[in-house]
Amino acid sequence: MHLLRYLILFLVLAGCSSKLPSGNPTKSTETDPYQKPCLVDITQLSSLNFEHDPGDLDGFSMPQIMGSGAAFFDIDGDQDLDLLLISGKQPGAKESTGGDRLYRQEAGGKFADITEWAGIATGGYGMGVAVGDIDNDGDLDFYLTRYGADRLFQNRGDGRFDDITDKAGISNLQWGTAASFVDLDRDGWLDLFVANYVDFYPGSVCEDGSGRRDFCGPESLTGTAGRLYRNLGKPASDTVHSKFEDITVPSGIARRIGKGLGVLCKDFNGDGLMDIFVANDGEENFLWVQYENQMFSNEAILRGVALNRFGEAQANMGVVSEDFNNDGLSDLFVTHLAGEYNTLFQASQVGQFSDRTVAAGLSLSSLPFTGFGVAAADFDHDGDVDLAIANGGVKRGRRAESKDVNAFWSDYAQRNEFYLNDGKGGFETQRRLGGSDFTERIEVSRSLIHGDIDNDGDVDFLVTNCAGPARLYRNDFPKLGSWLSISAIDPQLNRSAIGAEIQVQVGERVITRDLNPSSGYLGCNDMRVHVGLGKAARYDAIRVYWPNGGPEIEEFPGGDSNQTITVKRGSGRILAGDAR
Amino acid sequence: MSNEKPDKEKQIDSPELASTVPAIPEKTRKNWPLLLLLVAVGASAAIWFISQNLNSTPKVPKPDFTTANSNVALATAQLLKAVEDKPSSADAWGQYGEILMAHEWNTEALICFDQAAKLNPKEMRWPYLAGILLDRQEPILALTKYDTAKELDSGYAPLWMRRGNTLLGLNRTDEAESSFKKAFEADKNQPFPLIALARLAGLREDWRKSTELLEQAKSTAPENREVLVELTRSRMLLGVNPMLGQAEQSAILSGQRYDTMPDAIYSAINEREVAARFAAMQADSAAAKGDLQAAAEGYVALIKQRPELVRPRLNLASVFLQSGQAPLALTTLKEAVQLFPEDARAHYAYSYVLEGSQQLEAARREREEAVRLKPDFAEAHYALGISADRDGDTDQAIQSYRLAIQSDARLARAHLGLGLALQKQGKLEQALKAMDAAVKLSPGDPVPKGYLDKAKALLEKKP
Repeated sequence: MHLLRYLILFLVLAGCSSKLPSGNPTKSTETDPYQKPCLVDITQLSSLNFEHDPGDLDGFSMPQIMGSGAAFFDIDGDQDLDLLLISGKQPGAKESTGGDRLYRQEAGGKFADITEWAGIATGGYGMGVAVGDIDNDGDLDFYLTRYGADRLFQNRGDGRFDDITDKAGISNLQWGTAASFVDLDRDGWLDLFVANYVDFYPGSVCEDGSGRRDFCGPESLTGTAGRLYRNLGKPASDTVHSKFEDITVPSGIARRIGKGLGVLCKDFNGDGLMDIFVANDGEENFLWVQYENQMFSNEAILRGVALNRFGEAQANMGVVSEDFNNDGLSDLFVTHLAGEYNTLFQASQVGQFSDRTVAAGLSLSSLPFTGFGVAAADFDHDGDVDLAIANGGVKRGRRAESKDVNAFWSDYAQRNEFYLNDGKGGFETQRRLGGSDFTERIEVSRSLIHGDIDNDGDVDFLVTNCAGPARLYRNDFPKLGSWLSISAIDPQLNRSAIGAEIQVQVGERVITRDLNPSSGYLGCNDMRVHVGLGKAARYDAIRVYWPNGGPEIEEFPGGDSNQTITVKRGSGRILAGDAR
Repeated sequence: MSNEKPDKEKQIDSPELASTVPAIPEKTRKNWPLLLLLVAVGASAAIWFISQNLNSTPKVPKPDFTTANSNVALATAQLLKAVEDKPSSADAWGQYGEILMAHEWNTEALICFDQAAKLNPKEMRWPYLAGILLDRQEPILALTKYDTAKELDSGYAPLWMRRGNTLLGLNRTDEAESSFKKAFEADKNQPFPLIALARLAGLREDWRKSTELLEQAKSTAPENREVLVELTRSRMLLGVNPMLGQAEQSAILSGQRYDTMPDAIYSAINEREVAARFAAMQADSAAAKGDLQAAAEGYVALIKQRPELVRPRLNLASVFLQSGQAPLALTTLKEAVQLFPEDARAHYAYSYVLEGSQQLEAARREREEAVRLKPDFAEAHYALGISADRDGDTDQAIQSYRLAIQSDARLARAHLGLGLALQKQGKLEQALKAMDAAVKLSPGDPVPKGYLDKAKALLEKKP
């Protein structure tokens, strides 16, 4: 025994102490409920067989490294989520068959590929998607962004679609990325904002630090302005198709070119008008604040969301907005490049933000990763919003040991991250969630969309991967509380009230969520608003701030938790004034 | 036993100390000789280990040059050689580290800076650069490097700024504040320490202090965009009318990246290497887009900026060839081989232009030189095979094609060349094999397929 002590002393003297056990045992399975598998890969179980196909990689064409998006939405009104997955085939190729696939959810949670039947097989190199009912006919239409000309598809009502891009008067030939439907002028018709990325020519040659060919980054390329289209509704001459008017220039949006990858529409300054946040890659973010008549002014820098706490422009990609610290104000979370932490812009008052990432415990752990897709949802129903982040490099890094990617992509592959909220806006990394498939896989992940795929009341999600499969993850978290799933419908408009703010009163507490499916990176989430209620068995009221037709706040009565609720405009009690 | 204990304890003068020193057990005392021996052996081993560590030189890191830009590889290799020639030179290690850092071989650079610091512990530059390398990924480690650097030179303001930012990233706001104050003391002409202090005040929601600091910064740098923007925001949050003048409005709208604290040590490395690489990339892109004029201008500028690099010259020659200016390409490459006689690629490129101007003998000589300089240069071996074949030297051609294949088995045209040369020598079966390999490596290409079919037909006719 004594000999051992001296041997240890010798080893310490010899500088080997770092090899000794740290004496910091991990939590046992009995004490940590998260040590059982929490996020389970059910891709195969769901018969989902989608592979992102970036095409021939010899040219290191930039769109190939940016990945592609996906959307959860109910295409046929059968109350379950279907799935649209975007892909490309050889950016810039004259003849491209495209790779987007549409899957309908069948009985037993299986997905069937109905792309050809649905009529969405078109060419072009796909990037992102926005979903909304553009013609107020009760079914969901979608807009596809592309490296090349974007496309707008109108639902016939049964899950088959018509490409109405030209008829609708939409023409975006720049590299479209994120997009969002939003009723900016409060006339009841969903308008459309499209973020455009950089002016990239397929032959552009870029190199890494040592002069090896690599994918281009945004720093060597010129940015482009976003596009804003006003939905004019259906004109008398064509009662089938909605018409759009390009108002990019008159709205002021064209005044700034950026390198947009993420978009989030929301009334940031609480004046009842929707604003637009654009996450720019390597440049200042934009916060287009709307004044009257759809006139916008970029106020990001004055409102504290353009730059991080060091005054640096970061490589901004995906974006979500939620009330992370339960103070009643929505915050912003933006994902970034490795070496730049993901940033939490916390609201200090309505319309004013500051970078509180470090205090929230989100900075150091994210430094090794390049974050793209992000979902903010209450995965364990404890009453606060957690974070799931899809990671994957854009520049060659240290080769990762991964069985999930080939040699080419192993230079870019990274692990995903998951953070649990402590209820006060502090986060704990849960990188090894009981062998969670989500955090264990090392791939080049991009979009992350969420939705209750199996209608069991919790939030599942899907991750897309560069040159790899889309993976569907089922939420098997231990549930620490109850939940509500809320659909907010405006019967006059015959559609979901995109842009509505929903407040759930639980005792003294008010939980605030937005009905806004377009967030994250290139993706579109479930239209239903999911709320974790913590220990509450009941909720006391639901208040909805409707986004159009005048500033109207309506309150709906309380009820039992753990149910899906549809609140219809006009059936609640109208509140005077702004309860916020 | 009980009598012995007090005697031993009496030897300790201080009663406080005595109470903290445990009594030595009886069994241990009996083993004193053995223990003393062990301690002596252990101490000797430790001293030996430490002295070895202090004096030992780490293995010189060599990044993977195989896929690197040849100019970067060449420039890096020169500095690598300097370290290998003089491994006891701190400057050699440090300068090698700098070029590795500039080309993003960060792990390797870190080893060099650490060794440079070990060899010259009085030089602040090496721990400082190591800190910069680490602060995006390993801020806690970066901090230890900055702390070492500040002990060596406490008057370098950018060091205090970086240290403050690293501390701020670790949420150690009080220490960050004192570091920013040190930066201000070290260089009162720069607004950046005051801006950082103002941001810190903003994080604490002390908008009055933030405003005061920014007003002070404005007196130093009245046109600095960051000062104007942050001052406007700070006043707004303080509830004071921000009074937007023309300068403030322009600052808010401009979107230009904020300036950062000038840092002579860091920018000296970065500007030289990275700017040149960026210029090369721009010219390469212009060439790929077919904008030959812009590409040529870019390469000419780059040659002026970095005359020691061969690649821009080769690329310029390629642009001249594409735009039908063969004489200019010839001149450019002739100059390149004169300036870089040890560069195999220059000789190889020159050989093609010579061949195009019917200077066949000279072309062959250049190819011979290229493979002499770079014996695994597959394309050059292949080209030499073509020259030899043309000169009727089929044996040499076959040997060259084989060497080309040995260096790059996927080079379809070398297989085809080998097949044709073997066919010339009447070795039809071997020729067929080589041609078949060429066809398999370039499916869809009618040329090797055509030759293969002809050779097959010949073989069938053979009695």
